Amino acid sequence: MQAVHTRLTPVTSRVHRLVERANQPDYYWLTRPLLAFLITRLIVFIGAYLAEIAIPGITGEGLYHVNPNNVFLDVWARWDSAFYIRIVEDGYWFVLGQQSSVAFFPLYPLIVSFLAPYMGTLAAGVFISHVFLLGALIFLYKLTELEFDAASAGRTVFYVAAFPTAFFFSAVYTESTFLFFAVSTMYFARRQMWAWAGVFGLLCASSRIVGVVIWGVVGLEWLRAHGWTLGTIHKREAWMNLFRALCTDWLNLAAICMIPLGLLSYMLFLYLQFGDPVAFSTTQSAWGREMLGPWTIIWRDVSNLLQGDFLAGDIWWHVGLDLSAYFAILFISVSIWRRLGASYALYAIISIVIPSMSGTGSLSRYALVVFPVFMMLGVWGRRQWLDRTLIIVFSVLLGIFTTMFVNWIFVA
Amino acid sequence: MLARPTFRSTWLPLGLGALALLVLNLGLYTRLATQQVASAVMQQFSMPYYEDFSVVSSVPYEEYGGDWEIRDEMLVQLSTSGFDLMTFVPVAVAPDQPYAFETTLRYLGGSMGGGLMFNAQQTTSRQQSHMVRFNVDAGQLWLIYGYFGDDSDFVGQGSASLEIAPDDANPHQLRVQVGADGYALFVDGRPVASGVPLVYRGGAVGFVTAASQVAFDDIRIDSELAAVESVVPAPVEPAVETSDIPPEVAAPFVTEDVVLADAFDGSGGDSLWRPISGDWRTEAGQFMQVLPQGYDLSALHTQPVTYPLSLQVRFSHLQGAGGGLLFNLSTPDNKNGGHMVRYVDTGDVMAWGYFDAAGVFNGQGSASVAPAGAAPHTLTVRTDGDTYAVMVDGVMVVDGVPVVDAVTPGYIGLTASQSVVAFDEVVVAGDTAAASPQVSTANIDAALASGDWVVDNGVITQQATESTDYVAGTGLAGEQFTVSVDIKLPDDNPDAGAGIIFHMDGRDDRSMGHMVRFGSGGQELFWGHYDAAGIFTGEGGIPLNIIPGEPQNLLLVVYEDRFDIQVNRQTVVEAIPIERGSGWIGLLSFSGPVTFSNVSLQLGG
Repeated sequence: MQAVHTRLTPVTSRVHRLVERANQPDYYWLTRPLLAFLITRLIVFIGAYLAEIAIPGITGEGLYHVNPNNVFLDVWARWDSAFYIRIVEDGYWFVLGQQSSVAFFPLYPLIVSFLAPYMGTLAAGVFISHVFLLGALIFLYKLTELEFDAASAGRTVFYVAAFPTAFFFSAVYTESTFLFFAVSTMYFARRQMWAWAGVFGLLCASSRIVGVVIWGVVGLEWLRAHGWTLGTIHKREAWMNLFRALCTDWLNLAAICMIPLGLLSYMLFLYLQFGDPVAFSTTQSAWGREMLGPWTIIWRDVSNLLQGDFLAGDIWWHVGLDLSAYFAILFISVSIWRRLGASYALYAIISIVIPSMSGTGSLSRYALVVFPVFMMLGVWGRRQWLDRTLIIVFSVLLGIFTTMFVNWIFVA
Repeated sequence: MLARPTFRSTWLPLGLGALALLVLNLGLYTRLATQQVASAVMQQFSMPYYEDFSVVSSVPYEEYGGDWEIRDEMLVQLSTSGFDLMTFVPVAVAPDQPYAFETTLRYLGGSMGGGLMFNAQQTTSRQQSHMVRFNVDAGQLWLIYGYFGDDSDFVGQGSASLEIAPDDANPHQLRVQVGADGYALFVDGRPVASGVPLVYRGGAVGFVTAASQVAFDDIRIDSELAAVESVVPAPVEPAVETSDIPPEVAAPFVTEDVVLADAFDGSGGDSLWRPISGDWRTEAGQFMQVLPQGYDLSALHTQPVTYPLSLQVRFSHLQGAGGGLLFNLSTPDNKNGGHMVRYVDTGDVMAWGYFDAAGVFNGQGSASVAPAGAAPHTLTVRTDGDTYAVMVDGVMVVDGVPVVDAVTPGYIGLTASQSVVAFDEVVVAGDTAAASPQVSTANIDAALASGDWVVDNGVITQQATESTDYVAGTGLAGEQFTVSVDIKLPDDNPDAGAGIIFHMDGRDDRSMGHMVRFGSGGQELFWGHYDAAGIFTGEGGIPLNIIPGEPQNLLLVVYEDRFDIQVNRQTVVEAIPIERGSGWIGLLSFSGPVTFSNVSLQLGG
């Protein structure tokens, strides 16, 4: 007995020391995001598994199961996941008038395709989503800490990981990848590491159409770093500073100009393969999306929503969800502008307004990657009542929406 | 002001950026480029091939989803939770090689959905392959067949009902016999379909299940089998038939008069079109379905028509393809049970079939046609109620397709799938004698009606006794017609009344309707109309002295701008003006119980 105790003591003390070290502020940048990652993924994995095995699923043509023999994996391939999986397995296709895979940008399926031969497309997709989620949370923590403080950063990463539609971070969707490259680009821009921002921005622009917005964001940050802001636009000194910067820092500016190459590469590919460089936009009509401008769309959907019978439940509930996300982001963007600056605010506004010009569908999913909103929530969350409210509401809704998603109920 | 470029801050990221750009572009043109999948079958077995699994202990085929095992000397798929779970036999059949592929299937669990894959262009996906499998629908076992196209979507080529119980666990033999241009299907040696065109030639064969556990045994793939049995008898169900366009020009319509026409210029009464799904608008002389996404988005015409008839529709596709027509509908508010003919999404195939009672479409065939494009097309269906013919732009596509459960009088409709379609003109021609059909039944839907309505052997009773108006739609609608009903008021309720309401806004919605009814236990007759909010405004009345407890006939003759009232075949009021030109017809009761019988509608002014 004594021998066992002697042998166990160093192990337990070593673990204890490791926990103590991990709990040091120096390691918060890793432990806080990791904790948010583990807790929220536990919720969505258990929720998804139970939802799949305990609730009779909807069956029918088109309601596919990529791997029915592995529920833990299968639940993460629903709705648009099939497009990514087929891009990896069969390549891109584009049929005019039909929902075509060209709508989905290439970075995520390309990365998955490198691992797919070794672990299968579905497993590779889920794995990549989680790796980038953890990376995104770490960068988001560091960015928030840079702008505010460690406590706000800790709350921020938890809010984004527990957001009601955050189960998409685990699915075969591009949300994790995009968030990672968007946040990291911003982080490097704020650290004035322009070439690194250019590289990550390039990859961001090849993961989603709104990724190219990050080009303008980084550009604004570069201007701000050289004393030119929207607030000083009328001052001669600001323009003199800009002129000097163009002469002395043109190499970094050139690096920033790499960002749109991600989008341009994809457009060139679409032109050479299908003869339509904007096929990703052309095919949107097959999803019932049409460019009507944001106000027409919003007004139409608000009107439709208000005509429903809320008491009887006869409403387009996910339109309500999408509109809530839309207006919340616009509202919070005012504070973002004041606290974080124009670049953050423009990113938030454009990220939500661009998709809303052709329809409000899925806006609550697009809201996931509008990270400045979560940074502001992280700051405001220092009020305990708000922090607890957000944690409870987000976690409960996350569980419900995960259950719905797994069972082929469209959420976003 | 700014740091001098260093390796770590500038040159390393720039190099990585160039590398990322290179990998991205290489990946796009290699890994993510559209893959050519033709002839991707690795030959491992050759014909003739026979397997009864008496020796092998593991699945010797290439699996594509599902849980395949060898059990009890059979190939078994165990998962019931997925569709299109496949395993392929890597036998590469030459494109011009006739052959037969057969197996016995035994249903083990789930919902019977076992079948065969053939002429599969690859063994790693369902893309570009033919499929035939069993399918249970509304308690009936069907054999469905078609192909998975270039985009992996299933395109049905037909289906046939089978006289086998859906849960029959006995082994059944399924055979597909592939010829040069078409294939035939047999179940237990009986022909089910023949002459079905091949879309893909040569390739691998395999097995498929959908939401079912199925055991496969006694597999044979043999060119000799095809040669011996190359004379394929005619299929049992001629409905299951697919054809190419014969160069035959349709005969002109003869002995038919126009009984319904609408050019959507307002003269045809566009309010008689009832959208049941989709977004339908009348703009610039066209009736348009503007939602580009969604299947079988339909608008039905509320005026009944009778057989024989010719239904001709002219339309053009503004986006996508999928326009078409509906006929043989039993009610003007539901497509279930009706027939449909329309372009499929690709725009170069016309498909036809019918919806069963549950609203599931059952294909009866399809044929290649000229691409739809944006040009206007004329789609015509000619039918005598037993069979129908389909013509596109005056060219016969198919003839002799059976009408399933013909209803007359029935209703017609327009439909669009995955497309924005503008309809220019609809013309229904038929026999003059049948142009004004007599409808002798009212289709009361108690769930939609207000009050307590019971239908028993043709007698309709409204049983609620509270002193208010109760309305039940008959499912009938029209512009100019004669409607008649025998009404029996209770002899113990002096307040009770009953009558007819017409030109209603909705099937069971009294808004905008004109009403005529007996009142005060038969002591009066009065009439008036409801406004858009359903509020009644009286327009006149006369005293009566009819006897409660006995049937009294109330008959309305409705013209374009007025109507007459008859009570017991005596005209009591004439030329009451009406404001609205068409709408739904219903029965109306004030208090109760009131019975209605002998409801009849004669269309025509």
